[in-house]
Amino acid sequence: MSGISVILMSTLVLGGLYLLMAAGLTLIWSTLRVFNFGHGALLMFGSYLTWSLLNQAGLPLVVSILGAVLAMALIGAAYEFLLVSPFIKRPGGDMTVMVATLAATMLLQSGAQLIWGPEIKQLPQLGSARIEIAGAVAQGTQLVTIVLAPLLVGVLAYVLKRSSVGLAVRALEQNRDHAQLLGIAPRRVYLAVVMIAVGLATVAGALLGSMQFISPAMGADPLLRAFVVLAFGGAGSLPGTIAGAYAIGLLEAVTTYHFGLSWSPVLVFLAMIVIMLVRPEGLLRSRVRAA
Amino acid sequence: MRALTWASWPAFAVVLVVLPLVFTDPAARLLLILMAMYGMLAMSWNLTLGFAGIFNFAQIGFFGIGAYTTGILVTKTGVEPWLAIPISGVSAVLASLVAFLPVLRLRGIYVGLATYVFSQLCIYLVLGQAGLTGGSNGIVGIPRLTLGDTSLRADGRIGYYYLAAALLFATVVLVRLIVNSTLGKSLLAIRDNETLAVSRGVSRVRQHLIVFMAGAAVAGVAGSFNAFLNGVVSTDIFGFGYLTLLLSMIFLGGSGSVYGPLIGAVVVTLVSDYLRDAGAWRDIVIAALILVVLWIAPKGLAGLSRQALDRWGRPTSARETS
Repeated sequence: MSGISVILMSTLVLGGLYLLMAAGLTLIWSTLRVFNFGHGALLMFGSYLTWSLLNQAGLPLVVSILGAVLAMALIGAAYEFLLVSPFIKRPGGDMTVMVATLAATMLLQSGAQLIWGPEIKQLPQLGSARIEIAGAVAQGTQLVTIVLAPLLVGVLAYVLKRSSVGLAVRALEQNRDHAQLLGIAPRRVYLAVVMIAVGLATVAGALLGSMQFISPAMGADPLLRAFVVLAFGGAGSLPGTIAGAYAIGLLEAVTTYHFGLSWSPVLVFLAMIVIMLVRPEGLLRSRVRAA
Repeated sequence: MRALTWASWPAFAVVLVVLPLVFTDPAARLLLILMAMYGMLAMSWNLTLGFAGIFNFAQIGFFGIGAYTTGILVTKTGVEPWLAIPISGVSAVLASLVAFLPVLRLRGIYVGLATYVFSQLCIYLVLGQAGLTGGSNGIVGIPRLTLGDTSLRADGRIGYYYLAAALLFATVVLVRLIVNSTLGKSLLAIRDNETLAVSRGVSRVRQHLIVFMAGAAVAGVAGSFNAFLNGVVSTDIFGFGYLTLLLSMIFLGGSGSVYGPLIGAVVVTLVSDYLRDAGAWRDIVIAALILVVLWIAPKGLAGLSRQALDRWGRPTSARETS
């Protein structure tokens, strides 16, 4: 039965990574009504920053990750200020924001290439803990991912439910005009949301950078998976995203185990198309509207 | 006004014919060829992206599918090379039917997600079918197009230039026809007020499907041309590089106008060539250019030039209104 436990273990790791990416995208989508195509590049930049803090500034690994999260949150603030808010109010602004975030991806990718050069980098394993359940082994970064991702997103969901910021986020999500009438300043909420989302992406970047290698293009794949998660679980709802992330993780783990690495993305995408065709309103909730 | 528009067609054709006689240097000719090819792609993409307002990211996939169709046909089956060009257009149209599936039931940004994933999926399919597509090595040794005994490469690629120019001219005619037809008007109506347009009897799915297929056909032909021009096809063609390059052309030039993307194609090709030795700086400059245009001139260069023309033509009224 080691096949099943291996699949489950990899589901938890993949699902956790996708969750960190998709939760941020969902949050941005539900409040700002735009998609951030630069999320993968921000993940990559966060990964490089962690590497720099660790290897060039000589900080301990955990401190490096925290530092990178803080620095990236600031970059996220600039990102919101320069790329999202100037366009969001224009007619057809969602498309403009999309193009602007694609341009940002270009900037970040070439910037990373200039700053960190072409040689491949990697972060060390996060811890040396190791558990073995029914023949499947999870250790180091994998174990951290399994625990940390749902924990962070769970805390986020809790905060969104309980705090006043969360209330403002949900108010904007439901009715932007009405929320503004009630005295909620959308700009501030937008800023907070983008900073949180970029912070989560940075954590994903640090985890990914220690499981694989760091390269300027490393964000493309996680971004693609996060898109599928959003289409699957319903962009705009955090519980839907959590379920979607682990569903895609499971689908990918199963198809990789049985059909190999090159067919797994094809099957995942086909599943996504079928679901979109059969039940767009069920999986995407009521949020399908002419944006 | 109407007479002016009609006079502009022969003028445009004459310019296209004369250009390579002015720029005889092979490097300059190659640039002209690239401008024409990118112009085709950008204009056809803008049909869905700008005029129909569909978040279509599959266009780059259609371009690649056209290139791979040509590559496979001429290296594996020995089809007459010239015949491969229309066949590639057809195969891109068939692919567009698959990519259109999400557009049936989804709206707005979700279409963007699904079509973006479609383009990326093409890469995995190509890598998965390595026996047919050469996998990550790509397809090499695509024969050059010849006319009689002369290669289109001869005399500084003049043959390729005229082929590209003819294709570009046909694309411009096609896009003008679509935009000025009832189809084009209904597309604008759907984009700007879908509920009203549908209540007046416009079928969203049918109109969007037609324009989707038309755009895909042009992209497939452009992909085929690209395969013959380079002699190789690789998965780079589906990649992020082409996607951002073309989007920057469309939005730099102005997605709201017919000729904007063509202007953008000319400008971005020139900038990109000027900075070809600058490595990563090239992308930084192009990205910065897009952002600056988005910030200060949301209608792109075409919008700017129209503004300038208006001001120049009607100085007083322009001042009054502004």
